[in-house]
Amino acid sequence: MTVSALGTLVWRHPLADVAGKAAAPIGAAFTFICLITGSLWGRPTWGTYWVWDARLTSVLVLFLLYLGVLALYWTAEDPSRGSRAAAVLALVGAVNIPIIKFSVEWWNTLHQPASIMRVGGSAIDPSILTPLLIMTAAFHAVVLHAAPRRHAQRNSTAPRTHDVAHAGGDPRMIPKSGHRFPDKIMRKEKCS
Amino acid sequence: MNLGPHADFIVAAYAVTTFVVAVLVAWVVLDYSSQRRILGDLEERGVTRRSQKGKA
Repeated sequence: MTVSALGTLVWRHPLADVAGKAAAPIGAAFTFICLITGSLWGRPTWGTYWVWDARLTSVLVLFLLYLGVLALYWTAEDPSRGSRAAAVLALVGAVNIPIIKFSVEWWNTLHQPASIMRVGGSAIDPSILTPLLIMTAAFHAVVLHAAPRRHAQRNSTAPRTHDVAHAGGDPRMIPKSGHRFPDKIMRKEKCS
Repeated sequence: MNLGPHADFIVAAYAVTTFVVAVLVAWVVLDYSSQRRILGDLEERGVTRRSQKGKA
């Protein structure tokens, strides 16, 4: 999402925008799974479902950042402005990633130290590491599946909106479906 | 299959994960059909892509 945010803000590449839009809900869902399952496992291992230590809190912040990005994508009246605002938030939120990674080293936490990427190899049992890697691959597969679909939608609608606006805003050309094109078309008509 | 003394937590974790992933998959499927409907709606109204203007 950081790369897609850079692509949106710096190069204004449409694929970067759709990649961010595709990744945000999936990232939010998997972060939610991480929080819930980690909390469930924390009860038998730590004796509590939740503690405000650095790792758990920083992951919760990550989840809230995802929700913020989704809110910007879904509620902005102008999709392009919403995308830029979401990209800014995604870039700001990227600061949280190294904090999550190194939180168990920088602070004294209840959470165990790094167990996957560490000197001496992974400390995780293969019975857990394998499903983890499969889920990581599944995450990227879903993003790769969703991004081209979003790209097709954007690639088709953006020029069409432009065409309709420049064709005199013929109401018959305005789609009935519940999306934001009519508003955008009306704004363009007012401007012209 | 014996999941040991923490079976409840393991089953709960799998149940939550299955539910969230199922919701995610359902959202992807519904969103896909929604996008196809919107595009079909535009096609019916004769709105074409700029790249196809010359071909029309």
